[in-house]
Amino acid sequence: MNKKTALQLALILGVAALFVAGFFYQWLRVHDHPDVTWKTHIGAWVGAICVFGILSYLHSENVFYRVFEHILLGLGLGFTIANMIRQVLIAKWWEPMYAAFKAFYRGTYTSQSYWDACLIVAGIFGLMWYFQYSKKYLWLSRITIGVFAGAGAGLAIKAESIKVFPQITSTFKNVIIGTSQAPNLPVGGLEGRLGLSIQNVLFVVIVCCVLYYFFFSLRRDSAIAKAPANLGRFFLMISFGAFFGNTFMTRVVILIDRVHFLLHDWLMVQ
Amino acid sequence: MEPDRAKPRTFVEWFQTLDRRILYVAFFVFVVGAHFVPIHWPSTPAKHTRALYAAIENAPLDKVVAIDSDWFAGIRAESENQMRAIFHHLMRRRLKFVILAWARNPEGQKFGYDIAAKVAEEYGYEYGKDWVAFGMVPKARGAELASLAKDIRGFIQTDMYGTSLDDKEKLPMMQDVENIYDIGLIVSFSYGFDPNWLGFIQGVYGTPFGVALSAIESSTAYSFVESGQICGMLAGAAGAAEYEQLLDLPESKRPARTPVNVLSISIVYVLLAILLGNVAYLTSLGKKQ
Amino acid sequence: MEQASWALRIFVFLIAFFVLWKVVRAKAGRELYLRKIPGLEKVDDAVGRATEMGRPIMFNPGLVDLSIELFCCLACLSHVVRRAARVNTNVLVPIAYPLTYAICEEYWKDAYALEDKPGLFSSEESIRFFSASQAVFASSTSGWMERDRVSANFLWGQYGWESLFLAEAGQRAGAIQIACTYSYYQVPFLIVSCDYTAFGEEFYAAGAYFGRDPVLVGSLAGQDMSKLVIFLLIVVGSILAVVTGKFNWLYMLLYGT
Repeated sequence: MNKKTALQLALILGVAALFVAGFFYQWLRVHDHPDVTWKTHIGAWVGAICVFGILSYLHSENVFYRVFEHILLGLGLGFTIANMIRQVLIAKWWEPMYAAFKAFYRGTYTSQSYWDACLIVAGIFGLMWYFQYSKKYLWLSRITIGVFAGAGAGLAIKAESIKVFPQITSTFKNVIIGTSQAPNLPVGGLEGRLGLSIQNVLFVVIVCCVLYYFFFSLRRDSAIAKAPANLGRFFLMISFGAFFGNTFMTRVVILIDRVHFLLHDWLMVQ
Repeated sequence: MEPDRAKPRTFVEWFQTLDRRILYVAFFVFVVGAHFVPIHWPSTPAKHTRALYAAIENAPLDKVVAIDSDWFAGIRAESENQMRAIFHHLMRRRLKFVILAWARNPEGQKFGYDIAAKVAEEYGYEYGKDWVAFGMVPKARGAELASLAKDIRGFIQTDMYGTSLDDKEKLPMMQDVENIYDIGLIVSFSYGFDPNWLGFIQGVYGTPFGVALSAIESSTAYSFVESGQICGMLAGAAGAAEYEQLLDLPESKRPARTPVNVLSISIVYVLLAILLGNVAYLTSLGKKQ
Repeated sequence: MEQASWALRIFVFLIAFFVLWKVVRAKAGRELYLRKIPGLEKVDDAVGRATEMGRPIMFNPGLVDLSIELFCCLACLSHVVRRAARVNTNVLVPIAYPLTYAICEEYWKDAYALEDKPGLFSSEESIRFFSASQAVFASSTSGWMERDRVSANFLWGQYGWESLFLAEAGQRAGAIQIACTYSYYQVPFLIVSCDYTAFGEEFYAAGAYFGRDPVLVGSLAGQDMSKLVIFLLIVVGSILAVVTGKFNWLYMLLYGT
């Protein structure tokens, strides 16, 4: 038996021992939790097995991980499809449309019935997607794609314009804060006039350098032309470090949540 | 770039050739151990957390608050505690609220409802009279928000039980809610906020918009907080802990403290690993030169 | 403001004018300069390496839905697939959204057909729809990457936390990795785990960079002019903020009040 096999075997035995120990520990402790029975606790056991099954990927891609990967894939897809059919297709498309046509047939229609009947157009557009599978009628699916892309682009232009404009005005920073502009602020300190002025200068310089970095059609042949771009890239790297820190926090908290589940809900240690 | 895996001579070379799986297991054990360390780190609520607190404190009582529950089980550690803290505040102020749900994320509706129901028991909030959970609607690149703003009842149509929003007996609260002008504040709970809220609601109607995000996405939201487009923000689990502190909740109602404490300790491990890794890398570079 | 302010209307028309102007100039045959983008220059090298190793390439658009970003992504997909087709290499594409699947499949097939290699590989086996759920997408894609032992991994699109997951899986498979994303918060992870990284606006420029299509190149040049206008607004606004205070005439003009 080589070192690698021995290590893998030790790892599997270790996890198995953890499960066995956990089982006996809960058998002894379950009387301390009168509201917890084996029936209610089975969910925690399934959750714990799933957690270790997925975490086994950290060792290597293995059959346990693949089983749970496919279970997760199937559950996720099935849930989404069932939800879409029930809550969107049936509740928001079929039922109002059917009610409208029934009202037209019976003569009990209102002004809303006209709009609900128009939902048939949405259905036809949706079905046109499936012409993707036909070589002869592929062009029909392109109509739908065009409508979606055009509507999406139009909505995006509106939303982005309204979103971006206030960002431009918020960069108008007063880089020299004097007594007349802020008479109540002290001179020194981070929140004082000097500190705020320096912050504002940095803000404006960084915004300009980063904007300059993303110019693609301007030549940067001279050192003077290259300097703001290099500075912009440097500031971007600093911001990525800040992003890294924030991202790390979320990921560790997710792990902490799983560990808390294992300790609190499964092992009932805490 | 990897150093030769032949027998290492120094600690630095050994560290560089260390199997990463050992680091994973060590980190897991460290996090488990950190759960048993009874240290509580003091924290000062951030400016954006206090801003969201102020926004809810100043929210008009004659309008409802819209809660956009767009998070999922993967970020439960952050969003659940944020949501619980915000619900405590809303109910303490006796603000009425509605929970929005999107078809692309069925978990959000379930989580939002469960947490609201649990907190509602403490404050005597009645479903239908003080709060309502809407049925799911599809997302459509912002068009759904534009429709929502103009006619909430016509667009959403039912609550999550299928009861019509026009039903005066079961949902009396909804009779006063027609459009965006009946909403005094929107708080979005999500992994990363949907910028269409700014483009179609906040920017157009001026409705105050606050967010409770994962720590990752809080970096992207800072520029909007700075410009005033977002009135306040909770950033990750730390944001939830800070908000619980602002609310001055009793110890038993501060579940966000545990993950934040463990996080503070776990960061020590990561900082050490980064430090050692960089020292090893720079040392190996020096040797190559 | 339920209707756009005059400043917003003028600004949008100005951007449209710049873009159209540059597109017309590009179509008229005028050469428009595009600077080199370091990460994107290595794409062809990566395809070559994949061919030498005799293993497939993976082009991962991440969580891109039907949007402008998808079309930028598809321009790059076409480029990569055409390069791979010349050397009889397969390009695997994991997909998160059903709409994206249909469009990607069309571009993938067209790219092989343009190189006179239609039917060289099966699209059903090479393009797979997983799920928009990040966990499911990440675990399925990384499993596929490791099982098929891809030799080059292009992370080209939108990512959440799964970016590092996918990059780690690519490293474990021994692939050369090039990332190009507009998801800023994932860039630090892609920088440390991928061989080359392009980010932000470079993602949008990539489509023009590869194809050199006059419309795309002209659009890029037009966007640069718009950025120049914003740059000048910021400088002028900051100077005015010093002289007359933050809420000066330019601020009020742009704010629409």
